[in-house]
Amino acid sequence: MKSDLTTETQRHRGQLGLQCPPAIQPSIKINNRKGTKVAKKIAEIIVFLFLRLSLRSLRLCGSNSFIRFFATRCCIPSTPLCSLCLCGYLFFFSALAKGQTQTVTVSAAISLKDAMNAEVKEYQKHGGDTIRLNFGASGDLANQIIAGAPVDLFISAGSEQIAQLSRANRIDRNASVLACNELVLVVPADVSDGPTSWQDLIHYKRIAIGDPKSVPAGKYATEVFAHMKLSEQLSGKIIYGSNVRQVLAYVERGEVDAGVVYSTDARQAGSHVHVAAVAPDGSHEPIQYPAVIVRDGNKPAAEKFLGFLFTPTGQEILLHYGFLKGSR
Amino acid sequence: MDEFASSLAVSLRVAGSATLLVLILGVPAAWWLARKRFWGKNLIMGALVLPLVLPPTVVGYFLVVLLGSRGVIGSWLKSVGIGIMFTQTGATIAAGVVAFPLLLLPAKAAFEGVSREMEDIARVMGASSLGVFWHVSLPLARRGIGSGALLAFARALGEFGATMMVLGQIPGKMTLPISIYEDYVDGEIWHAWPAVAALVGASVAAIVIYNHLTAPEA
Repeated sequence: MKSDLTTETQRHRGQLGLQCPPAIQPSIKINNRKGTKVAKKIAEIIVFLFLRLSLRSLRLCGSNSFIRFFATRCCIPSTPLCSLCLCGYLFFFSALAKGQTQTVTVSAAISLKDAMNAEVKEYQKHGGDTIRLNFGASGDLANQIIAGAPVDLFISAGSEQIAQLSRANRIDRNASVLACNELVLVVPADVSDGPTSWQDLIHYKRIAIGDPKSVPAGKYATEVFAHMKLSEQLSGKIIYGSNVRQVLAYVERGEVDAGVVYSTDARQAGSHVHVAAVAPDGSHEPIQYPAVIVRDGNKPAAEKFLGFLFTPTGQEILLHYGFLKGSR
Repeated sequence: MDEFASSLAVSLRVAGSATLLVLILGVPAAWWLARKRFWGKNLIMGALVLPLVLPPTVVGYFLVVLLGSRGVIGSWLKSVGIGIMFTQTGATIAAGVVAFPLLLLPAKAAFEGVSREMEDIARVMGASSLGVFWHVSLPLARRGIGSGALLAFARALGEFGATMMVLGQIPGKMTLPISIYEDYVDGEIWHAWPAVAALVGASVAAIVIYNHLTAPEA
């Protein structure tokens, strides 16, 4: 059963062409948005002129005896009627003008939260589109996308979620690995007698991991426990977090004896947690962040943002937050 | 199905003990609020009824902050060996706080409906104030208390927000509402149907019994 699962995931990874460690990424130029800004200004002027014109024609209408008759019979004085029409016009044209700016909705694994916020800040500095970020457990995000959530770009913390989307026919291209990560065992920083190794965990009562069904970090954690042959001894001690940051919060608040999170999360928590052990290579499936464009989304804009993430600038931010390099 | 059985057991235990807790604290409180007059009564009444309108996650927030391992009360409780977070004790407290007003309000109304003359007669005949409460007020208010306890039990059984924050998701130790949510986020929503059916059944039964209890006496 277990080996079946591994071979299946390996097969998926083969299909998806995921690789880690990485090669050099192509640099992609970000479009200068000056052009669109000019277009927006022109559109504004056109709207303004149009409104002036329509206002005049409405005033003319107001003097038409039939319209006046109609308006008075319906107890609608003609001036409010005019302003009502005006509002309608304004609404219509402002909506048209708004269509010029694009918004890209990105659903990303919550472990990427701080790094992605920084990426978006940088992207905006380079004049990129508006990015709406949505964080959560990769499994939750994948379910939302399968259920039809209007997402343009999905960055998962595991390949299983990408396979899920591909089975549901919600993506039409291969994923590219944006970054890689490591799994660590963390303990509350102010506890001196906490576990110091993975084997040590059997002496403790409460260990938090992500819910393996929806949180990739939890799935990797169960793989490590299985690799260390600890699964059975730990079975009554596990507490599920609904995403990896909740696991981290449990450890930070001292509610559990230890938790399994990514090294980037431990770094983010700073002095609140202490890394007790790092999961050795081969004890779990390599931790990769595949990014994929969602079908029916705003493809060109999503592609542009994804391209930015693979530029040296984009990759540098990820490295700064402790992620390992990915490959396109 | 195993998961369903274990969550049903956890749910019944938590809701049952929460109802018991609410009865033990709520009935005397209701009697006290119905009969006594004192300064700040409205303030206390308001505080006790607040969980009825407060979002359960806010209740959960206060419980985690106060009773968590680093909380003011929680750190002391931990030192004497009482765990709140991730335990059924904690879940019982969370469900109890949320369910408390549902018992308090009908019980208070029932005590207010007990005629003072009856109590005075008992007192004239030599009953102590505890005796008056036990032999006169309590039996006369039993319908209100019963219906309140029923509502409190139903509320505790269905409590999600505060319980989720305090109990968390521990495999095999989830309440029914938490197991439904877990199935939903895991993308296995159809696994939740026994829990959904159980909760719908329990709620319908609660309403039927409630209507029966509160129907005017023939």
